[in-house]
Amino acid sequence: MTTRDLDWARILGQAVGEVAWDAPVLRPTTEQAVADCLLLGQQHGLTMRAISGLRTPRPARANEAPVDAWISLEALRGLVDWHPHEGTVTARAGTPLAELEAIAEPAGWRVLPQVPNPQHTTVGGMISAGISGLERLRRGPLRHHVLGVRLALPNGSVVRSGSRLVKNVTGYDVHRAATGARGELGVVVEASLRLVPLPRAAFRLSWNSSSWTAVDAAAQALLSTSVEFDCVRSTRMPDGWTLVAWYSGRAETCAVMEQEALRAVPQMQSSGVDTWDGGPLAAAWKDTRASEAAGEGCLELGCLRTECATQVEQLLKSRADVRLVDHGLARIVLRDSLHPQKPVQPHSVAAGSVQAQLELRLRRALDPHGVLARSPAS
Amino acid sequence: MTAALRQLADDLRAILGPRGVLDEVTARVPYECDGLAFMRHVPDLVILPRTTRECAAAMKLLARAGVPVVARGAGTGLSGGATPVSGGVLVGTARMRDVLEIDARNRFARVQTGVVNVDLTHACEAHGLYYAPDPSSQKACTIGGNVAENSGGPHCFKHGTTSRHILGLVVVTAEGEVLDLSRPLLEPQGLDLVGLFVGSEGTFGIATEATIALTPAPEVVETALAIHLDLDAACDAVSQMIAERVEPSAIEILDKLTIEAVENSVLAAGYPKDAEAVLLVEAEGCDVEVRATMDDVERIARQHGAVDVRRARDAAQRTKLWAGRKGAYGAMGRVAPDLYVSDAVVPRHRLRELVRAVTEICRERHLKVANVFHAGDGNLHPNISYDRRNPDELRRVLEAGDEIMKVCIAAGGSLTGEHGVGLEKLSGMEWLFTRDDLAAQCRVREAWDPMVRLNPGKTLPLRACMETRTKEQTRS
Repeated sequence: MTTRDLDWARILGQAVGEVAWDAPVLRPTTEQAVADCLLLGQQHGLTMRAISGLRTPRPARANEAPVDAWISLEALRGLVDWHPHEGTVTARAGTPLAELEAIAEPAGWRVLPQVPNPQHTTVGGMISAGISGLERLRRGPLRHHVLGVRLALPNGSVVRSGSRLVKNVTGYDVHRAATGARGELGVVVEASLRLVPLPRAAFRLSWNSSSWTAVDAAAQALLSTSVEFDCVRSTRMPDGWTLVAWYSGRAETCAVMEQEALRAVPQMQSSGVDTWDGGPLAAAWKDTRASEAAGEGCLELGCLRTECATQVEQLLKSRADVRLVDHGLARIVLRDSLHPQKPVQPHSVAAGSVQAQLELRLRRALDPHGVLARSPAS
Repeated sequence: MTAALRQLADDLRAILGPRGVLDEVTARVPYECDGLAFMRHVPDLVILPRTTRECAAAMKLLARAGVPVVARGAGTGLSGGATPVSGGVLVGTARMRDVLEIDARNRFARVQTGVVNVDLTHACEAHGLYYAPDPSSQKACTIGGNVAENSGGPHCFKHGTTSRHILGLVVVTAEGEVLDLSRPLLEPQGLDLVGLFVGSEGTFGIATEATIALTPAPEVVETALAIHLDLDAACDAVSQMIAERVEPSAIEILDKLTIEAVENSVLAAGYPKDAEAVLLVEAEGCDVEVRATMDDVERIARQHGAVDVRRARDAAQRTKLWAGRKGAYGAMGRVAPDLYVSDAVVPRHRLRELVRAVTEICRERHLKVANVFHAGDGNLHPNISYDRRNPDELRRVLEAGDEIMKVCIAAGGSLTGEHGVGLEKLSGMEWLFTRDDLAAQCRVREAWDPMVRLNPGKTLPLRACMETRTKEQTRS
């Protein structure tokens, strides 16, 4: 009997037809069905991995062990809770972020993170991968905006951590640990996100230079002002670099901030302050978001401001495939990198360390039989 | 004191020195409770390590002895989190008060966790930086206590609670190992253990050092006091500010009983005694941003019946307005000797309805309730004044506390927004979470502390954890 022949139909209501990389692709339609699939997998000693359903199932990395079954969350889609006067939204894991943006933006709210490709990024995938967005410099990482999750566990239960409220400290913040855990602590089947106000106006500064040193100096000068930029990003071009900086807020505040930024870096060209509603700036913001292509890999150097400049410079000398740098975050996007989700981290947890032992115990606490596929890094 | 305990005290003294161990009963009594004064238990021993190394050595000894361990900062918590209900050894951070490093360029500080919240701001204000979370007890509460409870404060409306500001930690585990996660990283290496630890109420380990993000001091700060003749209308004004996506840094409400208590105390802030409620709102940023934000606040407050809106930029005036708010709990001492502070959180578009429900619950039980709360976050603080020497009144207070939690949960709310579950809200955990939810949390706790010796009897109901263990043993 193969993995495909297990009684998945009892859970899914239909036989499994699709196979990828020799493993059946299960498409549960309820959160309990996700947990039931995991339980059946646990009973048969399987290794399983959840995928968003918007991508073709495949090992996340070349050196990753194969799985016995895929759980696609594609059918687990849609809003669970949305109140335009509350500033929060709750959705099932397979919901593309574009669907959330489509309901939140007309009500004046912005969905975080502002990922490169919201049509192809799902709520569950984003949380499992720990993806932060273009506005991370100002608004912080994804884990600050995840208010709560529901997790399907291999023991067949669906449990919740956190809530749908903007403030809550009841119980342990397992949702914080699950954010960026690559599904190793459980399958995220639902999540609640904090929204932020959609900008009323914005301006965009840009400047081209053939010199990285000059671009980096300009970026550092911008970051040393009191302007809380949404992002300060350099993109490598055939003849050098393009530095782009965004600020958004009230129109009157934008005007003041634009002046301060231009005083610090006079060579930058400004788009001028414009309102956000459907105007050209909103389209330009989408372009900046999309400057990081979906599926491109990135390095999170993890350093803070002053360390970053040195580390980025060293990296530029040693690698030719650096395509994009988010200043102030030391986040670097690599050209043609195929890793689809998890940022590559140069620092790893030392094997046998107190931290590694604790992480192992946490994984075993929620997945004692190792059903959830491990990443090679863990 | 038993011979075994005397021996343990001597062994601990060999590690911590004579000032590091308190074994006389008169020295231990002050550690019998925190701000939840009706639950008390004197610890068997109190130890006061000076460093992470001392703490780790002591914890190794305590692990071998198998005794319960309770961590304590300044004891300002309101949920009984630092009360040693199971006896054992209380580990205080009172001698760990060093600011280890301030990196102004990278905007972070490393401190020992016994550092008092406001002292961190004082240590870095010369660099134009400050520590944003500002609980009312910030002049006394410690960073370690803030980490344990994931503490908030009025300005968390804009800046978020403690977890958003903690970049790293050094934790001494239940076994006395040192878990060093102190490197100031923007993204965690491996699992986000720091994020999981913050708010774990002393049940995962003892945080001895913290790496903390510092916030640039704003160019301009303005505080507004909107005076309402109706508490409902003040709540509606806040709901509309949220709906209109106005972004001040703090939105607080004080009701009539609170105003009277404050104005009759040495903290008199100039709140009008004839008001039914005041809205205390603050905005920060550049001049035009602050002006525009406060214009929005004033417009909305007046739409909802504010008879006056007083705006202050002068530091002395602002300090006075906030002194009333931050001293409100102390001022309530004029009403009755004891205060029960609830901490429920509710959806912000239902503020009016739930504040009314809370008031009604207390009225039915003939209790005096004052509301002073973080309205912008939906974080209610019904303060019930009582006298714990009156058993019937205490019974009614606890009954009202339970009813408040139930009504908030039914409305989509939660038990605690910043005080923690501790002892006080244990029963509520079973109203809010399913057995499966609690079972998962029990397993997470046991991953950190397999023998459940750290702060036993807190945060998770013991019954739920025992059921989990029995169920899993039966399965295997």
